[in-house]
Amino acid sequence: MSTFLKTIIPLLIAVSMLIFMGCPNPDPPVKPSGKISFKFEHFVNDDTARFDKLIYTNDAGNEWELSLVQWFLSDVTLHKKDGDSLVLTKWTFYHYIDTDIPSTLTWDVVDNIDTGEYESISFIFGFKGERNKPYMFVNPPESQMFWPYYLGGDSGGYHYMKLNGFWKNPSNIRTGFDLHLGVGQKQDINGNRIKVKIGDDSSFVFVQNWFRVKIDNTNFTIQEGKTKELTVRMNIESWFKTPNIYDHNKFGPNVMENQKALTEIKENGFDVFTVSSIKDK
Amino acid sequence: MKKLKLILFSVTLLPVLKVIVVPLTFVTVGISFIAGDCKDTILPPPFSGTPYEIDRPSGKQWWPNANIPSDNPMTIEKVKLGRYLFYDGRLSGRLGCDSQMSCGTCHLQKNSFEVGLDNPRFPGGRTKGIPDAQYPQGKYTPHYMLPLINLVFNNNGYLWNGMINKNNTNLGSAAYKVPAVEPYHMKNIESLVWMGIAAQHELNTTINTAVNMIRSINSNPNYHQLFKEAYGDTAITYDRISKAIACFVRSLVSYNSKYHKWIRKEIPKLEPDEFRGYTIYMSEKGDCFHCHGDPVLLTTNLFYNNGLDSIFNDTRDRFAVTKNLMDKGVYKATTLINVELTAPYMHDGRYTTLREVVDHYSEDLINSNTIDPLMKWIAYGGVHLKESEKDDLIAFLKTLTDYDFISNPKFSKPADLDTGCD
Repeated sequence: MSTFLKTIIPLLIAVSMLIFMGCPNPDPPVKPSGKISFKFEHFVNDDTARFDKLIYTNDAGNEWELSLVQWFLSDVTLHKKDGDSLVLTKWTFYHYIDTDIPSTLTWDVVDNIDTGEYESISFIFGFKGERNKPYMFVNPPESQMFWPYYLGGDSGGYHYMKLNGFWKNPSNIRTGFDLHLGVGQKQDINGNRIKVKIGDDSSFVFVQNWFRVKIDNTNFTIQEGKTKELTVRMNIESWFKTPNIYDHNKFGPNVMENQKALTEIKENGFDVFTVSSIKDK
Repeated sequence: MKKLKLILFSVTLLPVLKVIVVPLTFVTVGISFIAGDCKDTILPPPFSGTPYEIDRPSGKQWWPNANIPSDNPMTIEKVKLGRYLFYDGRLSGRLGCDSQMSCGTCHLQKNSFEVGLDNPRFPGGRTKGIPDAQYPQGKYTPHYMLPLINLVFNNNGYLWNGMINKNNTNLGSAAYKVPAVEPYHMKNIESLVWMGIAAQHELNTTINTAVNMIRSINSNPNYHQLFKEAYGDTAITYDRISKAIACFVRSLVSYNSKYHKWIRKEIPKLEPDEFRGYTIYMSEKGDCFHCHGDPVLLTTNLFYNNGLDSIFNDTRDRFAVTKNLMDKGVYKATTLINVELTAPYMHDGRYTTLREVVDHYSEDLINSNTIDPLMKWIAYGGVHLKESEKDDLIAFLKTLTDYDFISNPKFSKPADLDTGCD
């Protein structure tokens, strides 16, 4: 082979490789997508919730007032008419809502949402156990929702909700209540916590009280490049009814260690939420 | 043939040359242009100091974001300078041993940088400022103090009412004799420094007096040298003084109490009474955790009416900041780390023992319109613990004492600081 060819061929190969490597494979075709944004509002008896005023009466006859509501939702899922679903977890799998922090009442979701027709949304109220890790939040306000390890164990790191207020007790005294939902503790019929033996150790048994909220007939269309805004409404009076008439006088002011109370609250939670508005943002 | 080889060679190399040579040419020309124009005005990089790494337990991330303003990054040199200034009684602008007062006069390390009941200058823990003509015995501070511990992790506001916070757009404070001009913001720990220096009920001096005094000190320590190490030159200003002290205060981090070591699994267990007390604290039996929560900081750094009074005359409660009527009688829930060392307790120092505090939450809560709903047993006066349960709770609270922190020499008065009164 001539000297010329010995020189030029490797160089040609090298240059060709450069050119070849410089041309990346074409991207896979991008699905058309839009965005979704959530607003959160809190109502009592079909009206915007009013705070720090003893103006409400629940179905048990308790006169009560609302102080604040703080809660988490997670694993929000959009359900398509064709049966597909999309779980919103790209940037974060949860959102924290606090009636004292206005910025939390809006959630602009980062995920790209496939265009198409959607018929419902669902979400986990609180966190599933495997997601509810102690100390996963180190910054306020989320860190301030911690559920003590003594009460929740390794799968009960945080409150699902703190709904605080006052009610008039049987002595007509304005008394605080904390409707705090989170992981419960298994108890015997006398209300004593149940332990199980694990090797040489023993551990309390905990009860997961999270649940999936499904809001049907939430029909909306995601269009390419556009944002759809859904307003999720918490109808607070529903925490006290349907199917259980919740009576503060029955359970008293604190319920975090009362699994019967937590069960009633959880059962009432399935129909607390509605979507009050759907519009283009 | 040779010419043809050359041509082919060049053509083959052309794509490669385009990729390398063309951009290189632009860069070279650009640098020449800029260098040619700016060769007389190239500035040295700004002075930065040695970054200071905040102490935290290794491994798992337990701690919130640090509240460090962008205009005062922490450096080793500023922390060092701040430590000298913190303990130097001449910062009050006075040389007399009876009249010198430093931050460290009130904030004693052995009491978690609180005054303590046994403070030699303020027995009983009621602090007051340096005397003047108007207050010959010294003006009492309006509130009892809060400990200087883990303040760098507080993002919710300082002082009992949270007045010093990132959202405060005010400049200065008439009550604290701080001018309403830049740089005297009310946003962070730096604000506490100039408030403490100027307030009649604290160091009770003027800004210029404090600065001039520090400027006059050339030995034990040589402040000019310390300022040069911290800021790159020897200029001594009020702004630099406050920033250095703030850096030192931010370095005061505590995380090694027996309780902390237990939750990090560095020790296997608590004593039986301590563990019983832990269950009272961390359940709704005692319900301490909702306010003094956060398993690491032992405070939410939030504000509550905890049932002390029903009539509110204090002009420095949380209402003074928010103007929300529901914040009358509301104060910060302070950290319980080192709580056995930080008597007297509450904003007005009404309790001197932990037993009195526990009794308050057990039987002595006072109802009011602004009582926090977390004080759930208000109708019954409190959570009604048995005497043995109170003992257990106090045993647990004592596990929150961080003996490493209160004896750590890097937080102590520098050995070579000599104010003439040491």
